[in-house]
Amino acid sequence: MSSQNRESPGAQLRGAAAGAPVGIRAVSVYRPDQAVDTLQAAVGLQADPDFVTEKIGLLHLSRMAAGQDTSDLATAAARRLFQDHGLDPAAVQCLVLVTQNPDRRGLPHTSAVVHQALGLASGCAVFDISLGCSGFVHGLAVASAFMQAQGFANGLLLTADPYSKIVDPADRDTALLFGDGASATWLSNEPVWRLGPCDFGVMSSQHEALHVNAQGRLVMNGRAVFNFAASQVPQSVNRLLARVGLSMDEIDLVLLHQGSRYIVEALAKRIGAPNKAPFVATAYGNTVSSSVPMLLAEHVPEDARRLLLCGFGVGLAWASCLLEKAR
Amino acid sequence: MITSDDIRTIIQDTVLGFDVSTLRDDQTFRDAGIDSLDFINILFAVDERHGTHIPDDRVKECNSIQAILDFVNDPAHAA
Repeated sequence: MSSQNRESPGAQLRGAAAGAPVGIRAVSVYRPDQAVDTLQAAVGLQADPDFVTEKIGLLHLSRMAAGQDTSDLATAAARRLFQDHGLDPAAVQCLVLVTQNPDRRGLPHTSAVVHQALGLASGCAVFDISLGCSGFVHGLAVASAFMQAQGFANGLLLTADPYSKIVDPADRDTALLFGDGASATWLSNEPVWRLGPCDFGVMSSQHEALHVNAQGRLVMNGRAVFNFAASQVPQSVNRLLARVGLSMDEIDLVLLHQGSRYIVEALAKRIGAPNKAPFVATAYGNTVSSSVPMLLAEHVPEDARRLLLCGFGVGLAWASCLLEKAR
Repeated sequence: MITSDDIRTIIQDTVLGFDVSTLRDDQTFRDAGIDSLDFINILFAVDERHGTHIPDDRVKECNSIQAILDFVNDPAHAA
């Protein structure tokens, strides 16, 4: 080879690793069979049943069984993905788990526990991402870029954040909101949904608005979280649309984090998409980072071509992205 | 100067199906049947549209149209 044609070692390494763009091939979800009836729970909390039904809108909250843990939920979702969509576990080259309620105290990383339960290859890259309700979109961007850089063909993005581990059942601010559940997303270099541009950010001055206190219980400043979402989510959505030169009319469906009926409907109105942003979590609750992939798995019509996703919460962070049908 | 009509416009836009003409300026939102979520949405809209800042520790006292006006129109509370 002449020196003129020879690439630098760095370029050769880059060429050897970089692969085709990675997107979403399929999504499966898992929710435990047990559930809390919020209208019953509301009695003990002296909460108005009409408020629970019409404003919070979460009538049942999925609950993992005694003895189940975060890794069990994530493993169940992944097994469902293998079974329903034909992904071969032996082909999985990376496993990324989004959670802030890991098994034990997060050491070892819960994704390693899931890796063992699924019997994945030892050469599979495995790590956790610590994020709340914005975690799915963040995880999508991180995992797909990681896979593309390494030339991986198949990966798993899992979400599992059972807040039943940290919610105080006597706290009216949080006890009627959160359900346990998990999602498993097949990331592939032969995607059904291509990942478009993303918009990320954090209002870190408000990070105390959602936190776990010294007693290990979730504490929420509802007003701060509402103000954050009502101000930042529309800005994020508008930035994203402006960046690609699209209007809301050209988006088929908006998948907003399912915090409550009230926040979804308020945000849908504020972003000019009152009929495009469904609230669907009535039967299982706010499942944190699993709420957006649950929408993606269960509520996207076959003819939808372009989706806008937005997760927002803990941090207080947001992450929005566009998905476009690849085939 | 923010007026009663400004706040009433916000309430009409914010609280679905609520007839703002039935609300007196000095009537508390709670007595009028406005719940806690609509209440924080009203305060957010006041801050957003009028550039005010009602801090968390003053929220409880801003529980009527008149109480909001007393707070946001006080020069000492200019944002």
